[in-house]
Amino acid sequence: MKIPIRRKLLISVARVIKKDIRNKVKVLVKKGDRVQPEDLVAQLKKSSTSVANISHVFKVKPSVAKKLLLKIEGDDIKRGEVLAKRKEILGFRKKGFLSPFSGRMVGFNDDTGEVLIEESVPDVDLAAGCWGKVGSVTDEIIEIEVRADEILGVVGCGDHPSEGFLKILVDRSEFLLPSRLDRNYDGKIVFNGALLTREAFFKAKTVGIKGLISGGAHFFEFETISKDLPVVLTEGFGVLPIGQVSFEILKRFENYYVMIDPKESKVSIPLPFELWEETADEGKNEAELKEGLEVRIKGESGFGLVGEVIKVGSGEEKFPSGLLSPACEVRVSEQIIKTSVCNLEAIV
Amino acid sequence: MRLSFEDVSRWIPDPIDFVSLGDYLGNREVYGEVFPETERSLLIEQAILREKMRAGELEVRREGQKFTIPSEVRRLSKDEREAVLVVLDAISPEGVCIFEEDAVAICLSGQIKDADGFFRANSKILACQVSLDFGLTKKQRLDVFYDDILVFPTAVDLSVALSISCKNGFSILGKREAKIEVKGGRVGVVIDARGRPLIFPSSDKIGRERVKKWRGALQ
Repeated sequence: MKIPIRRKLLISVARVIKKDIRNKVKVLVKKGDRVQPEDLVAQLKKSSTSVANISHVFKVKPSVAKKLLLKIEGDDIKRGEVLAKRKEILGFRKKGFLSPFSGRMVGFNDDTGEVLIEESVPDVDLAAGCWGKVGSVTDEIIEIEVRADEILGVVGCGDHPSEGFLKILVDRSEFLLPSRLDRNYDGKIVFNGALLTREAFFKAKTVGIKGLISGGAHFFEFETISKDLPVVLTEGFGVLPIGQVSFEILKRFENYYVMIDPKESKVSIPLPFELWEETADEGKNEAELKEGLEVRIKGESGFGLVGEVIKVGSGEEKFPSGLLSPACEVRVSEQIIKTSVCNLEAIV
Repeated sequence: MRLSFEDVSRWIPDPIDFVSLGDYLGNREVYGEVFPETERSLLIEQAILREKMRAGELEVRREGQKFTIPSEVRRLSKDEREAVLVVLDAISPEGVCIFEEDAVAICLSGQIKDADGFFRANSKILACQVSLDFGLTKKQRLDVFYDDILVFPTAVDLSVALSISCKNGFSILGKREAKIEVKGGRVGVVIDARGRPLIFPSSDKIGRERVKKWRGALQ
């Protein structure tokens, strides 16, 4: 008898990491270069645009507000410098508006009376974050060819992939309290345990976490979380600890650079050069059910549990539901669970 | 097909935890259908089948008065009785319905609501009086109340003559009186006096009691 295979892990698969360099000042690598996590690949100009509403400040119409400006488009401006000025009380008193940011004035909105200021922020260095070989370098992207271990989850939420350094804050069977999350984890990918709560999700978003990996989450909560913080669930819905092997891999690569892709529900961990190895995908979708096979139970008798088949029944057996099905016994830790063969997946 | 909590829970006769039902349905979307090992998962799977049949995703073939119970329903039912009930709930047919060798169901049309337009629970309103003639010396006479299901077990090929007199506005395909001769099945003759259109059970205590009563009638 055969059962379907569920791949939970891919070892040392070839992947390409794309680094966005659209705001580049300088590219520091070329095709063929070997890079390590701390190597800089580019310098980026970091910019952000802020808005100051002159019309509201002086309580005047936008057309009047424009006349009060002391700067024009393209002018540089320093923080605290007078951006607009108005005479009040028959011209005896002057009221000024000081720029809250340093930068360059890039526009004025005639409909709303808002001034747009492009803030000047020091350039940032972009590190490779992984071990790999630089592939193509274009105006927008640097490709780095890597080898990665991949943990294949089952559900993802989020409209874009994310990357960052991995932090493991709890054990695989615990769950994360929102109070554990703070600004120290800004920009990190955080492993969250067996249950992602709505509260932990929103706290993670607030403190700037870039992605979450969790064993499970309650379906009704998962349906309501927003898509701007990528999440990958490795096991499914409910309180479900991540598989022991997957957790060992996450632990081993804590503080390494990882990527999560919610659309494909996977976590990729680029490997150091010494762990690169050629692997071939056997491409099998089914496995022969036999004693010793590692399986995952997806029926109610032990949903999400992983164990070893110790006995395959010869005929059909009656279950508590009153229905008949071929059955087998699976050892999970010290416990032996009788389950239907239809509710098993081979773990590879 | 995306099912809501309400769609599924209304067919479950016991209180069900909203969180665990959500997780069950979510995992079902991820991992596909599972074999129901427990009573709870069987009830959920049967509820899903009902909603699939209602939505037309699972076809119940019909030729005149003859209905074919889908193989999925048979597979996920303990016996013919349970399968017949699942199909009756889902498609709520009217008149005389023959379920292959399993059963003949006579489904009454009509509804009774209170002044506010709500379903009147536990109101013993007579829906019809049935007289059954099994060819024996004495005829069996029975009162059937609104929202009840009654089953008369019969031998598989035994002819039964039924005389039905509908009350309180109920009818069988528009007729108040009907004389019907049918052949029994493995389940027997089912009188479905829940009225049509069927008022679906709610996910509260009253709804659960109704589902329990219907299941009890066909057990």
